[in-house]
Amino acid sequence: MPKKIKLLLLIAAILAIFSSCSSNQKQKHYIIGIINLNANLDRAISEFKRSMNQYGYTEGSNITYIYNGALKNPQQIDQELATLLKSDIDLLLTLTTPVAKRVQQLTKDSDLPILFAPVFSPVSAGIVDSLASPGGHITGIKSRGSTGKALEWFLKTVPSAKRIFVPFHYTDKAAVETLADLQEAASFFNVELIVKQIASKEELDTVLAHIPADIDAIWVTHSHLIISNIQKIVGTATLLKKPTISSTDQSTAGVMLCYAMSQDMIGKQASRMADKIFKGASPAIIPVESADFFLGLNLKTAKAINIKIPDDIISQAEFVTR
Amino acid sequence: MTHSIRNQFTTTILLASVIFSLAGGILVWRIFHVQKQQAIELQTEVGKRAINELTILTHELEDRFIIFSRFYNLLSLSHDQQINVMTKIRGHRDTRHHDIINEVVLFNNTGQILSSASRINISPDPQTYHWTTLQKQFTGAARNETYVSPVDIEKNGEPFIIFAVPLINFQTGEVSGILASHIRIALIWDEIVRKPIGQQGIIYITDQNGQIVSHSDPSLIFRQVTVDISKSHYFHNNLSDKKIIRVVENVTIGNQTFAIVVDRPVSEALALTIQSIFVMIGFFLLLIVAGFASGFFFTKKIIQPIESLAHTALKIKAGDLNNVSTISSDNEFGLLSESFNGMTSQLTRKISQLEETEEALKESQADLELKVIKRTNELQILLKFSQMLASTTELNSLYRQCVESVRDQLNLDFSTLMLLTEDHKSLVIRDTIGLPESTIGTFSLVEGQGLSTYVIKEKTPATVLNFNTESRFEIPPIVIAKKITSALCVPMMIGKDIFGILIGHTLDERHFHEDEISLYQSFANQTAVAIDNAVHLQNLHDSELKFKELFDNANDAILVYDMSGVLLEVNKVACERLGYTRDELLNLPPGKIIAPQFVGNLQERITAVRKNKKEIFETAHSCSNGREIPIELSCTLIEYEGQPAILGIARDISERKRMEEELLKNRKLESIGVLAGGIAHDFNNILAAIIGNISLATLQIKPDNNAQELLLSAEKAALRARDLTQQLLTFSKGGEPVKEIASIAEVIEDSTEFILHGQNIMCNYTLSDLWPVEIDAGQISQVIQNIIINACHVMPDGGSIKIHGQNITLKDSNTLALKPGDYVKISIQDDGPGIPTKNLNKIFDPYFTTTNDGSGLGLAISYSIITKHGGIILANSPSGQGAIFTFYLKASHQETLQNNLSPDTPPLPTPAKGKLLVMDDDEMIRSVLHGLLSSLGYEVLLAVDGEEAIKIYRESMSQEKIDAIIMDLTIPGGMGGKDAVTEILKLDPEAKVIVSSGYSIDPIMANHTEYGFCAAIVKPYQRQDLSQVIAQVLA
Repeated sequence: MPKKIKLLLLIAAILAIFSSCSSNQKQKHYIIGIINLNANLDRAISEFKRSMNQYGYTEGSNITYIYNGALKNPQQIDQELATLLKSDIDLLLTLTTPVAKRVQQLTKDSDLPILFAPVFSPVSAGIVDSLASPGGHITGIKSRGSTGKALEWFLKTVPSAKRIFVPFHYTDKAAVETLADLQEAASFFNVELIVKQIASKEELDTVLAHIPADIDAIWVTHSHLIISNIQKIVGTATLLKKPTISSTDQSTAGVMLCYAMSQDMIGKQASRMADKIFKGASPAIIPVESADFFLGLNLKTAKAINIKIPDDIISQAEFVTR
Repeated sequence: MTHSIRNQFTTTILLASVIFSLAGGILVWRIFHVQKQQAIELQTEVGKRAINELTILTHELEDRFIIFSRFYNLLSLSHDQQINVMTKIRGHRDTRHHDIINEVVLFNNTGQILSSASRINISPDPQTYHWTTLQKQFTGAARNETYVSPVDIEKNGEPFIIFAVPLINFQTGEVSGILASHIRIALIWDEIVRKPIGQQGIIYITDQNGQIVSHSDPSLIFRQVTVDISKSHYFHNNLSDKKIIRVVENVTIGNQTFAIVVDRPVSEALALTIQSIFVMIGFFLLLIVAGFASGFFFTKKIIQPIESLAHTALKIKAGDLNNVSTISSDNEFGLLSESFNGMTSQLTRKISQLEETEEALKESQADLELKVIKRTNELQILLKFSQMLASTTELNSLYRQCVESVRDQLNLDFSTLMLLTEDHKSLVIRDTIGLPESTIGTFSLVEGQGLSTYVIKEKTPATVLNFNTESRFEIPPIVIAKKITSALCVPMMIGKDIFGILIGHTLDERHFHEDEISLYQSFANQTAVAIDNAVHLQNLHDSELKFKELFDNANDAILVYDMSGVLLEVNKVACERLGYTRDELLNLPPGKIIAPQFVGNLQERITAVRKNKKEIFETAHSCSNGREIPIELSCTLIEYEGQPAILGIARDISERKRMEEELLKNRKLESIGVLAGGIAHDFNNILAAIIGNISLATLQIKPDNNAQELLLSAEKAALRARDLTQQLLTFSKGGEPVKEIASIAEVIEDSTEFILHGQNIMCNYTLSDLWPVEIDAGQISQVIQNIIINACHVMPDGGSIKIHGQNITLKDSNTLALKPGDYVKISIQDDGPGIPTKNLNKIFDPYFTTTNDGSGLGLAISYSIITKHGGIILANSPSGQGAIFTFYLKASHQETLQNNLSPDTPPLPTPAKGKLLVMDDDEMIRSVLHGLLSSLGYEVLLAVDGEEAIKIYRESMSQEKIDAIIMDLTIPGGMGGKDAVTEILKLDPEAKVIVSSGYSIDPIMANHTEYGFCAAIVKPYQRQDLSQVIAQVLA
């Protein structure tokens, strides 16, 4: 072997030692899968991505989101999850209670971190063991808790209100829990609830056609059936010159007063929790957070039913539809 | 062998290993310290930043609570108003828009909840706020301004703190209520603990006991894990038993102290140190391996062959040249061994050769020493010869010393020096010893004849052993005659050029050795250089003499200045003109010889010459006697004795200046003359009308009429005006003198007596034997009169005048700028007060006068007249001698014409008869002439121009012929007298035509007969003048 080649080999060996000592660790690239059953919550997803960017996760650079759009029905959840799992995702973000519940069931034996944003009541839905210590590999944000405050805001707006009409989808667990919270608050404020049970669209139509004249307001509960017919309820209430109240964010749909979570804040909260998980915290020990609630007013509706909302109330509202 | 290569190599390897290890260890130790310090600084910085954030948030919160409560004076508001204000307080967001306040509660001073605003709860839980604790915080001497509770955990796992501020009654200073809040502290802390520190560093918050209250791993909070925060900046085992660097920074919020703990794994914080250790170990191992490998290789391949060679060399050193190296490898050592053995055998051979060479060298050295001695002698001879030549610059003695020295040094019987002529066609014997002096001369170079010709041609030394056997050239007869046998001849060279020859002869046969030829050639070359130098020196000396002669004999003063104006050299003319000796001039300070008015320009002009190399200035030199000489100084920048200098050639321009002034004066006069001529002509026409009309008026009134006297006065005034006009005309350009040969003495005496008549002034004449002059007597009379009138003016109380005449001949170089020739010089001197010096230059200027009644034209006209006569007039006024006017007039050696100024005038016919034609464009003149001539008895016809006059005359020829015509010389816009007389004479050669003009000085008037006129009469004229002229013409 020529002397020059020997010398080059020796230099190469020294350089190899140096390079092995000085090489940096490669930056981790994360993949987040997203399953959503309600297209109206797409805004929360957008805010989630934007907030993740603020935490240093840049899409295309060190993070990838796999989101194939909102599912049309709960039956598509299994297929969607299977597809995402093939992509070796680092975190699964779920939106709506049915998705979180099904995913939790399907991944019981997996350690894939799951973040729900939101679930109305994760403990009663059986998704987590407790809010403080969720256990398993799932945590997230709960949206229950704003019903009492929603009633309080309404009474500040219309202090004379004493009777509230409540169409109640009694088969919907979220609606049941909303009604329970509402009944507790109504008792506190000495307000009478006129509850009419419904189980279908037709029953809703019947109930709406027979709203008592002496009621002071109509309560829009947290229910898939109610929300999907929100325009009909709002239209009837406006016709009757009755205000509408909700503890879900429906002010843009025409509900006069809402005290509920905001999709923007849900996205932000979720991104903060996702960052914790990526930083090494196990979802099992990350407490389920309550969603931040905000006051929303629809002044168009208020004007249509001749209700004057005090200015100091308007000034405290987060979202105002004029 | 203690210092063997083997031992030294081993020691070097060991030493290098130790040094490298030590250096590496020190380097790693240093890196460790620096990086540890950097890590601690980084972590401390992160901790402090976290504290800053916490402090800012707390202060914002505190400010909001205090400002709102005090601004709205919460306790004085209604319940609803309180709720509204508190809702606003609760709505506070931190800098990241987190909704951090869950609930705000207003207590009165008894702990009763007055109102609340909550994010979730409809009514607050009083247990949450621990009223007694709050009350304790804000009462007593050590009461706090804000209260922060220890961290508590909510049911849902969220940590929170109670933050409260007291509501103070400022009149009593007592606490009248408390505003408390439920703060979601996790939102704030999470932002802090999630900040990245390097790759694996973490930040978390503990209470003052080290219990974790915020951490990226929330389980640690729930498990109430405690960490050691007692020391900062030290290595700890962290929760996972990894070595870490921990930095702890404490922060107090309200009455709670928290610790910001920043942990970073040692493996990351000191990564560079660890890498350095690995690299050093790697290098150390490499060094050991390389040491062993190179030691083995070096010993096997280098040391052992060297030891073998050294052993062999020692044997050879001991004298055993038969010992050989046994190395047989195919590398350099094999080659070295083979070469070594070869060298040994060659050495053996060389030693024997050297011994032989040494013997030869000894012999050669002895021979060389002899040569050196001989050469030294020759050089000494040459040195002496050279010194001898250098001491002589005179050519003949140089030739002599050369031929003598050469003859003596080479023991020659004949020694001869010959030089080539400039055309290289002849050789000249400059000197010889042995040959007769008659041979000194020139002979041509004839090819093939004589040794000298041969050497000139070949340009190399040549010898002749015996002329009898010489075949290269013909033998000159003198060689045979002198019985010369041998000869040596060398060319005298300067560079490549041959200059001459040195030739030596012997009577006996002699073989010239090469050393002798070389010495002889050296003599020749040195002689050539010495002769060449002497010739150049002689030429230089001659050139210097020529230059000196030119320099001193130049017409102009030549001065050489240095660049500060100090004189370095001057020529003879400069000394003579300035009145200094050369030494005096060279020692004068700069500017001393420059006239004062130009001294200020000295530096400026030196600068101009330095810049432009050549300049010409007009300036003036100041002589030793104070006189100033105007000069034109031509300056050129030169190098003088190695320094920049200025060569100045000063030309005296006094005369040129004077002539320029004269020229200027003449031009002034000419311009005024043109004006004067025009005015005079018009005046004459006007005066002709005035005088004529006065004459007519005189005739028309009775002699005893009182108006006669008035008319006489008017006529006198008009005649005085005519005289003045006449003077103006004389002065004008057209006033050319009508010169005749005359006696100047008569003119002077007549004119002087005319003026001095009745004056108390005596005149003394010295005018005898003066040459005749060619003058216009009338004009010269004016000159005399003007000068005498001036004298009378300055001597109102009488005095004397001296008029002196002198014949004088002027040469070419006369200072008067007059043409050379004979002149009559007239000086008129009065004994008045004289002319002030300041007026002398202006005295001949037109209109310059010092008297109130003077016109200022008299001397100007005099100047004009004398100048037109080709002479010059000067004024001088020596102190106390009055004024002296001197003029020069060109002398004529022709006979003086007899004065015929008064021809017989025929008697005036009374009354006259005849028919006259008057032609004049001026109606006034025509009218006057008509009146005057009619009064004389003539029949008068009138014409306005030449054409009309010719017509009238032609018509009269067939009837009653016109007897005479009076014609105006110039008719503006029409035919004048000059042309009309020609036409009329064509019609009638006998016609009598009188020319009349206001231009008395017109050449036609002076020479009227040449133009066909039979008489001339000058306007303005009196009746009797007219009558006399006509009478003469008709007679």
